[in-house]
Amino acid sequence: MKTTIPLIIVLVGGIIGIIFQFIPHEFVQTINDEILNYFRVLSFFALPLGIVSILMVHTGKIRRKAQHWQYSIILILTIFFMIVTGFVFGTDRFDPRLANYGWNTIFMFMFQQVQIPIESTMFSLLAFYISTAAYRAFRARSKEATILLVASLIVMLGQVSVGQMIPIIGDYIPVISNWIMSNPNMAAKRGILLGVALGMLGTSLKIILGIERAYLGRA
Amino acid sequence: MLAVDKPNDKGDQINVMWPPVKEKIRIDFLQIFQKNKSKENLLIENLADKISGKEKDDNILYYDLFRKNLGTGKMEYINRFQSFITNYRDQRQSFKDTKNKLEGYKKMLREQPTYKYYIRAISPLYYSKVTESKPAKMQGQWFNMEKIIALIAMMVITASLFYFIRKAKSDASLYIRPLAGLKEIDNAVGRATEMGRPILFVPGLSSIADIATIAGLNILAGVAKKAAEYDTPLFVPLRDYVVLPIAQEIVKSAYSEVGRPDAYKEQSVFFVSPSQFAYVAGVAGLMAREKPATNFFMGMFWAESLILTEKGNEEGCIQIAGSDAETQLPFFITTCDFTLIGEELYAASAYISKDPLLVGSIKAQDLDKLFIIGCIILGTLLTTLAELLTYPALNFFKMLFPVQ
Amino acid sequence: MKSFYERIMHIDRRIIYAIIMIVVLIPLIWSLNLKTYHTEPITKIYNRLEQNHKNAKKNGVKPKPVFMCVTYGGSAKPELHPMTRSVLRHCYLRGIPVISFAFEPEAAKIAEDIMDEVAFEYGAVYGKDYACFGFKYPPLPLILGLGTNAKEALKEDVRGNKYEDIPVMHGIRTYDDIDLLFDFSASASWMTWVVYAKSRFNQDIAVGLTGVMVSQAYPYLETGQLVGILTGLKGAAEYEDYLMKMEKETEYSSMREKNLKVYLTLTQANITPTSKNYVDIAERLLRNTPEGEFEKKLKDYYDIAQNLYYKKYFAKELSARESKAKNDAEKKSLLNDILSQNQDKVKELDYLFLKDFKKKYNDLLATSISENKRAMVGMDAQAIAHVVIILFILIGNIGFFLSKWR
Repeated sequence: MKTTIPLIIVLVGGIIGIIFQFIPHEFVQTINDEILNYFRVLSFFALPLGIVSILMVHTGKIRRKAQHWQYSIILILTIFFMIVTGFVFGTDRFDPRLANYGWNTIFMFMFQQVQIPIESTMFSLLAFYISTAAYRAFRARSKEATILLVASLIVMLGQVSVGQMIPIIGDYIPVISNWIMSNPNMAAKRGILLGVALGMLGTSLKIILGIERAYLGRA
Repeated sequence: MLAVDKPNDKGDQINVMWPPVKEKIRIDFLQIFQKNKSKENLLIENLADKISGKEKDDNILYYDLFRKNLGTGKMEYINRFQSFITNYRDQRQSFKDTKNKLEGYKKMLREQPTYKYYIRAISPLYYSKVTESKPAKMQGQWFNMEKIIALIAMMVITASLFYFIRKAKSDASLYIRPLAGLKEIDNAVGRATEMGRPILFVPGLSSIADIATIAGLNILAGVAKKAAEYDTPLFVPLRDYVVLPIAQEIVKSAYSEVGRPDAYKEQSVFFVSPSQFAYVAGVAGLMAREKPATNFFMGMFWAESLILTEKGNEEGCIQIAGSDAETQLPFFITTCDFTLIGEELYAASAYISKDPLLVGSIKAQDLDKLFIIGCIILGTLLTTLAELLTYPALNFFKMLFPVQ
Repeated sequence: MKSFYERIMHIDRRIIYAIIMIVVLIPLIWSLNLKTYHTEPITKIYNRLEQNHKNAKKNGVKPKPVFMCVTYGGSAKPELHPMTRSVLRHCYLRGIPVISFAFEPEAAKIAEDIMDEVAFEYGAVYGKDYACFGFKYPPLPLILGLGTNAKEALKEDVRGNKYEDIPVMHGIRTYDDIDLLFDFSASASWMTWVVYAKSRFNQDIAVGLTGVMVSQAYPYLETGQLVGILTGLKGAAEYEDYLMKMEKETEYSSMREKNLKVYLTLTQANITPTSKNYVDIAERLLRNTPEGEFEKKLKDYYDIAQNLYYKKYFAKELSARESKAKNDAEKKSLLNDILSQNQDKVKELDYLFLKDFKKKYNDLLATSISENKRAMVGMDAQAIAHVVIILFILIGNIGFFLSKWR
């Protein structure tokens, strides 16, 4: 029973979804839009589950006095700080009460001056990680690895103006780099994409027909 | 002038086309006047002698388009178009914008959205005669003919799926190519057990609507079962709160399936943050503190992929990744020990469960792929031929494989 | 004791991180001014906007507007923000109207901020030279709606003005009335534009993408489905180079520096700021505006800013009275009533406003000079980083061959 009902819902929902793809009539499309709206609304009901989950993990850590439990206190405090400031002061760009001083609302201040810089910082770590990954990975261990190494060096030089400054071969580097990117690279990518598209179709069909059901928790 | 219902739509558009006006005009009479201070018109120049009777190409500047709703009799001005534009797709207001949707829909049906179109050309010297179209009705279609190829392809794929599933049921020896990454899952879990360190599983950062996430969760079911058997701690941090209860259910039932429901800890499957890089920070921190022996990254990833895997590499973890994000695959391949590329990720759950139904479906997909490769080669050849030779019969193929 | 080749084969990652950090920091402190080479995808976009400007100048009309869809959050901001800034600078400089919207709430705020910031610097006026429609969701109805009825699709801007009340939107009915559409995207939204806006409505599209995404977009450039691509930070640097040359040609940058000097001498000489002095400074800033229109434009700009300032200050009183007001006409006159009742306060406010205005102006001019070269400086750093990574790869390989040879 516990698996049959979800499977029936998946089957019916899936078949309706497929049929709706082929019927452009306004009557059907309106129903489709409504269903999608409900999906969007329903998904937000799962948000409290997420918050409860994160609170449980961290209150557990504080109770156990696990390693670095002090950070968990900061995490819980910031969660509530953001929720409260959002509700009390609003999420507008300007708080009328602070506007005389040209200040943002506290929520927007936290968002713009704290969250965006932190996210940018995390993103910029990529530069460091790419360098170590490239240093380790590009070794001419075999014939194929050598080809990969040479191609990568050309593309790296082609992406920046330094490549063009090299005498004699400088003019050709961006051209070769472009060729590598738009021919061998593109061909491989398209091959993967076609496989992915077909795999998606097959997996979707398997899910709709109830053949693939591991995601329900019961294989 | 032509006005026809747009085919394959929901019934709110009409295609309007008009022939470009190319008339010659004959000038018989041209005089230039100027107003003086007492506002009398004074004749300055009479050009009639110079240009009378000469023909000149008319220089159309604009077209003005109007429409008349035959239901209500209302006449509306639509727009002014540049002279090189000779078609327009007219759209009526969506009934959804009215406050009561049902009322709006009834009104729309009652009003009979049949329109008649009028066009008039404007040149510097004159307005042309108004041309009118035949009445056209906005009709919604019940089948989109543009998608007929998609329907046929879907039917072929479904049929092949059913065929191979039946075959797999009767014949258990269907061969599918082994995947290196999947063979290693057992070893990787075993290694974590030997070292007495936990396993980390990330089912991608996308929502449950993404097939890659479902594929990742399917693999999680297999990994969780093995982790439960060996009694190795498992961490599943999540970014999407809709995936959270599903992942919890999967891990829980994996533990009870091997007969150790008591060993399952709800806190091992947990939500981190919906923000991409906050999630990365959380998972990287987890790797630094808990020092997992094995990391699995199965699902959809974006720019965070390299940060996750390189951190795992720094901690000396065995890493197995699988993703259909082709921009992130290079990062996975350089930093992970094994990588499932693209559709291999989807196929993984068949390998793990060895369920004949799933194995059959893989076989079916391979056949479909062969079919599609055949279509691509044939289509490329025929359309190329059609371009090179002007043989009319080949034009059919150009139509069959339209280039968009 | 490890042998030499073992050591260069396994360099500690912390050393690599440190070296990368140092070489990236150097160009940010001392400008290297490496030469910027121009590539086709960027040149096409630049020429397209220039053509728009030239055509308008020839026919004596206002240039056709451009749409700008901003779809990136904080994480992709360092890479995509400089190109958004460059395109905005180009548009404001050439008087091309810009209309923006976003498919993500985070991006909507980013778009609004950058538009206001650059507008202040280039003297563009909200509603006349640009408009911001903020967060629109879901994307598809908007993309299709712009092809049939833009007014219905966009409805209201971020400041609560109705579409028909915004002067810059007058005459924009569909894609036919705009020149180019930009999509600055860290997601796949640009594909949706190509599929719907290009193939259905034949709207010309230019995209700004992050470096890793660029290779996906190249085939669309070849088929002509895209007018051009701003290729990550590199593309932004090329665009900045173009703009720098253009500003030099139009003597814009030298004028701006002079403005700064005039302004600084004014403040140092402790001359009381009067509106006349302010006009003097701003006149040079706004020298791209056609003659005769300038005074009006400046006054509008000043009035709008001042009105906002008053509104913010009297917000509490205003909202209290607004709830009591009976009709719209009464609501409109509320601010004037309050101002006339508080004459003394208004004088003080006027002075404070001018002070604030000048401070903001000063800050902006000082930072904008570095902001306008942000991508070029970034590319210098990237070029050096590439070279260093290549060196590391070569060192690793030398170690590998030495170990094999032994």
